[in-house]
Amino acid sequence: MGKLMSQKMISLLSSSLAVATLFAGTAQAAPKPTPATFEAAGPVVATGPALLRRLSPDQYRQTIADIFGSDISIGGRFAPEIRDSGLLAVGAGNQSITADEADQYHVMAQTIASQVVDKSHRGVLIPCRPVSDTGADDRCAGQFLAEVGELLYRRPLSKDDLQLQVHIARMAALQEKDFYAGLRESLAQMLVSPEFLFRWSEVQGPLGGEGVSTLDPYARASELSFLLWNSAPDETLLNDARHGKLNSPKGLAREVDRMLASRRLNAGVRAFFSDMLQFSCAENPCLDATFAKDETVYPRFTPQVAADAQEQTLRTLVDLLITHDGDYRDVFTTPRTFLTPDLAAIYGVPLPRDSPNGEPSGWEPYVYPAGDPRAGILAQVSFVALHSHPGVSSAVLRGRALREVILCQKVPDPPPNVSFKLVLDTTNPNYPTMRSRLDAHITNPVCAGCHKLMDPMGLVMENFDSDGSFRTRQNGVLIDTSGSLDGKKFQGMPGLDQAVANDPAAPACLVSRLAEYALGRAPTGDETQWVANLKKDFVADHYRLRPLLRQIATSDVLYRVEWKGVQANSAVAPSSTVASR
Amino acid sequence: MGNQLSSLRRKPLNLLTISASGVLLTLAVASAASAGESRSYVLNSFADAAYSTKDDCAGGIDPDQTVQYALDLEALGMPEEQVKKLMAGYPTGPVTRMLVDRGRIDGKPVNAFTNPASVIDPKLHLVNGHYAYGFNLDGKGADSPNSFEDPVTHELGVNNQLFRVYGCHKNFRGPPADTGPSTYYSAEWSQARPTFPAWVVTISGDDLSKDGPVTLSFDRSLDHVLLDAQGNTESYTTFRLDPDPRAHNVFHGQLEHGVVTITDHHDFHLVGDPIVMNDLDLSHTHLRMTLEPNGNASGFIGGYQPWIEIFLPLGQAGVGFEEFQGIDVPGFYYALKHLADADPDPRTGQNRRISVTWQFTAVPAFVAPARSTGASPVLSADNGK
Repeated sequence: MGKLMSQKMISLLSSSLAVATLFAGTAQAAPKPTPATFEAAGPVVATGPALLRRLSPDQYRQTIADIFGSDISIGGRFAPEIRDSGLLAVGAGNQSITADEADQYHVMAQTIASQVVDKSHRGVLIPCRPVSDTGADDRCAGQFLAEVGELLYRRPLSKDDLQLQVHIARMAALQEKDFYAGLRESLAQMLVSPEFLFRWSEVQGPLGGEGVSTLDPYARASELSFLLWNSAPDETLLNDARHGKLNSPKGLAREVDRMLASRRLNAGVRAFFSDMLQFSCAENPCLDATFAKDETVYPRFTPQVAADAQEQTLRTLVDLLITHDGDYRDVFTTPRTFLTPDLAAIYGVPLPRDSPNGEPSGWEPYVYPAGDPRAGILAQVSFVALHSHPGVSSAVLRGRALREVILCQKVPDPPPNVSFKLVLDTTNPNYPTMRSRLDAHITNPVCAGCHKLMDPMGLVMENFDSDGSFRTRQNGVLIDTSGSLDGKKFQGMPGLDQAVANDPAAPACLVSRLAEYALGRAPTGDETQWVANLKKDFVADHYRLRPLLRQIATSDVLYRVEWKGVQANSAVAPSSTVASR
Repeated sequence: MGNQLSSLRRKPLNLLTISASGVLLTLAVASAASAGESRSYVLNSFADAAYSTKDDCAGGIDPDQTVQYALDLEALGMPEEQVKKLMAGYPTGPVTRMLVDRGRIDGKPVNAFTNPASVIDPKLHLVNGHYAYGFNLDGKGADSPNSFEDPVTHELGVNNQLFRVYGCHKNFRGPPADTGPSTYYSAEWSQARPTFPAWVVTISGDDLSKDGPVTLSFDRSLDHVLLDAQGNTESYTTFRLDPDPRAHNVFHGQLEHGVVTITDHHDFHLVGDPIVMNDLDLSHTHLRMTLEPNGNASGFIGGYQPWIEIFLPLGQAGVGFEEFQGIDVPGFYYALKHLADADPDPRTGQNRRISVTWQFTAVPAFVAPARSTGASPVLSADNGK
């Protein structure tokens, strides 16, 4: 018996005939990797459950681009992801596929498969030529489907899986009298398979300790690849899995180092920070975070600005943390960034450039002078505009986001019977500034407690309007940007930036978030100590991201799952290697 | 937004010393390196300075072009019944070709737009009102023949024959009498604006919050404007100045009560866009520009402009221009030629330039020199911020 299906997966599949037809042929196990003899790097610790995580839209796109090329368009649309415990990566473990989403995956699969086999791509993407273009050819189809299938499923296809796919290709080719139509149908079927759409936690069985198992080499390869590159494993990684090189700490470390040295690490780092900084709320507005702006009030906040804003922050982070191997705390103070003409206009700074006459400009590196309030990622449009209302800035939303997103500190929700009318009324001449409105608002003692957690930081950001544009006055009154963070007083954005950079909660929050991002869930049991150790080591490594990623990626903790044996309800799909033991 | 812009303007931080390389550089303006303050703007709108009043077209408003076409055909000697029959099929059928080729040379049909003088002058209605925006270009004041009074400054002797030419056509009329769609040039500029190099103006002086002498420079940029979510030119974007000296104009002027006027009236030249205007080429240049409290600027620029340069984009657009704008192209040609009031051809005596006034609005911008390699300084920006 090979893979077992969870109840969740069964119900998922029943929602779509197009998907369900694909699961007939999973009875026989995939080819075995080198026999698993895992070397544990440390004592076996209690761990959490195995997860079935849906590929994120970015992971889907990146995987298709990596396998077939970036010129293959995806088509269709992705449903909004679920954010859980502050991360989409955690929500991905709790996400199924609705009937509508299954339809969209089907559209995407057909769109992609049609392009892969069309005349402009088949010569490059298909490794063989059929005996005849107008009929079936099992040999050539098998060669193509085996290669692509391994990349899509992130493990070799079982013999039965491959036979099924070749059969689909044969039937379609004969029906349409077109070999490539056969490949198209078979490939489209693989693209809607749960093997592709979900990351499975296939395990090798008990690992010495009570109730703990470890992922099989291919699942390890997937964990590594999605963590570090936000994409499916490449051929080298799959080969290492095949040959058991990921089973030993030494082999694993060697592969992790290769991946950390790759430029593809940028994609992984960008994916993590996009998740942590809640950039998905830019496309699908969240409760307290939105890029929706009233264009009559903020005409400069164009869709291009919204897109550029996220990219600016990601470029800033990658430049500092990866390119320059910098200190994470510096992301809050760094004067180095990248701008487009649209962003420069929002910030009100000059941006000379070199692009040819009339050509849309790209990104230009930019350095703020010392003490400029626009330095650091907290002053960037991606933060101040995202955490604002559509028609007015919000010291409260910004202060709350700073607590929750950057410092991982929970701020209670407001009581349901509080009126915000006064705070949102920017035209009241008695309260010309946000500070004056909030001062009046928190005379209500019910409100004051929580506002003390948010307002002293949020008000410092009032130099930035809802669209992120810089201002020094509101309604003609000079904006007071004094503030404090947990009792430490400062003046203006440079003061806030430095206070956050100096706050141990900021780097600790990054470590917690990254650990949860890697695990796909909150740490549990002994894993909490593992996270505590990561935090200590992050300090010792001078707050550099690469060593932290290395430590997580080479840790046994990442590859351990709760083991309850082979159960029908388990989300874990043990391979026959274990089942036969 | 106005509040934001004005507050930015008062911001004490010096934002002008930033370069991509991080090197701090001193602010300098090419045209006025010693000036204490400079503000740059990029043009947001540029249009004919139409000031239409209720009774300024004694002959009436020009007829719709379909009516004019019928008159053109009748002028060719066609019987009224034949014209009616042909125009019933307009804009399809053989009449469209006949209208394009309504010129006659040696009795043979020729293209009316490349040969406007071959068409019988349809005699467009001309403005004969009292007011027009503009300047006393010839210095004759109230004694200047066919002159107007400026409705804002009330200066007499305003020379603006271009307004007299087009001002009785419905698509060239503006407020206060006409509150309809924007004028032809306004619409064309608005549509074409993001597709051609921007025009930039920089004012420099010791202290632009006070009255005093200033220097004004007009430049063509290498960059196009960006548009905001409402379709207006985005403010505070950066424009590289075209190093070609033909794209650079410098004037001395005076700032008084927030209004800049130029005190030397030499030639002006900026390369434009073929759709709107190939070149803005003026002699006896006059300018009046208001620095608005919200940080924007608006004004008028006038002078004598080669009338053929005004005609050419319209002739080039040909029947399309007639159909979409509804103005008779050969009629426009004749009116321009007849009302041209400067620069007589020494051989024929025909005036080659016509007095014009254009109005413009502008938003704050940064300007920088075009650079060929590596790091570059920011040359100029709005350091009033």
